[in-house]
Amino acid sequence: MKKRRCTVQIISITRKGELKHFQVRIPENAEAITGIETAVRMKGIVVFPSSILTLAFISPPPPDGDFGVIVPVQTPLAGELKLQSCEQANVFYATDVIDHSAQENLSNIPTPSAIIENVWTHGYKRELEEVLVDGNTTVLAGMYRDKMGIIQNRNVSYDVFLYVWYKIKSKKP
Amino acid sequence: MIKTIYKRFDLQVTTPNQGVSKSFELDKNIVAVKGLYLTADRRDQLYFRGSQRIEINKDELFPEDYLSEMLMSGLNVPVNQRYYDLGNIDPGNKIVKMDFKDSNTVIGFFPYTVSLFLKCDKDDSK
Repeated sequence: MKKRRCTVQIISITRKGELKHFQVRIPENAEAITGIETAVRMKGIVVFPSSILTLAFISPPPPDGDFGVIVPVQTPLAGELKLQSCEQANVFYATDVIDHSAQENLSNIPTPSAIIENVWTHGYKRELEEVLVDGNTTVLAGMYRDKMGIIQNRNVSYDVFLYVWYKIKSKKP
Repeated sequence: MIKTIYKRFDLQVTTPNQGVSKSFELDKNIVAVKGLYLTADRRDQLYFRGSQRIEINKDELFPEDYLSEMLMSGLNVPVNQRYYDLGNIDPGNKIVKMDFKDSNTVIGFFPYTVSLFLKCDKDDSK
């Protein structure tokens, strides 16, 4: 059975709309890249819920000062990620990175008898996204662009965790 | 006859922002490790603060900085699908090692106990 290994890349974001280019080193014994996982972890002290509300108006505020209905819009979108192989595969992976904890706590009114739904109590199981890319490349080029800061119109600090899974070549007898 | 059993191993996290390493020994008659599941008595602490490296038989399954949230499943997941599928890992020397790391993030620290569950195949004839 072929063994799988994982390499971790942490991308730190501190500024609104920050664009980061990075490289992921792939070991020489990698035969093929088989899966990608992403996760987001916020930094700093944030009062629960961990997501920051973005307030949006259903319609533009009227000139008489009546602001109408304000609806909280939750923004689980953290940013966009692209990965490029140096071999023929070129840009082989692109995704929106999601902060899974951002959707929580807001739509559930706590009651004494009810269990409040949170991502850590009711969350789904994470599964890796399968890809199949030749492992001959020694390095992956990546690009991450922040969108959370743009949506919230402020600087936000967080880490994006990128996990690249690969199969390793079996040793020759 | 091969039987499926579930093993539980606990690890205490009492100090914030520090690592805790612990090795666990599997029963001698366990012939394969098929799944893995991580939880805690305070799941919010584990979700927002935890990361770990896990190896079985000195073979690294999850690297350092692999977030605990990636190995957790909530109540919305059917019982038989909550375990992370490991395939069919040979337990070899039967030693499971977990290097757990607590990190300061968005929530304050409370001491918590991390529970590692393993879904294993046991051969009674051994």
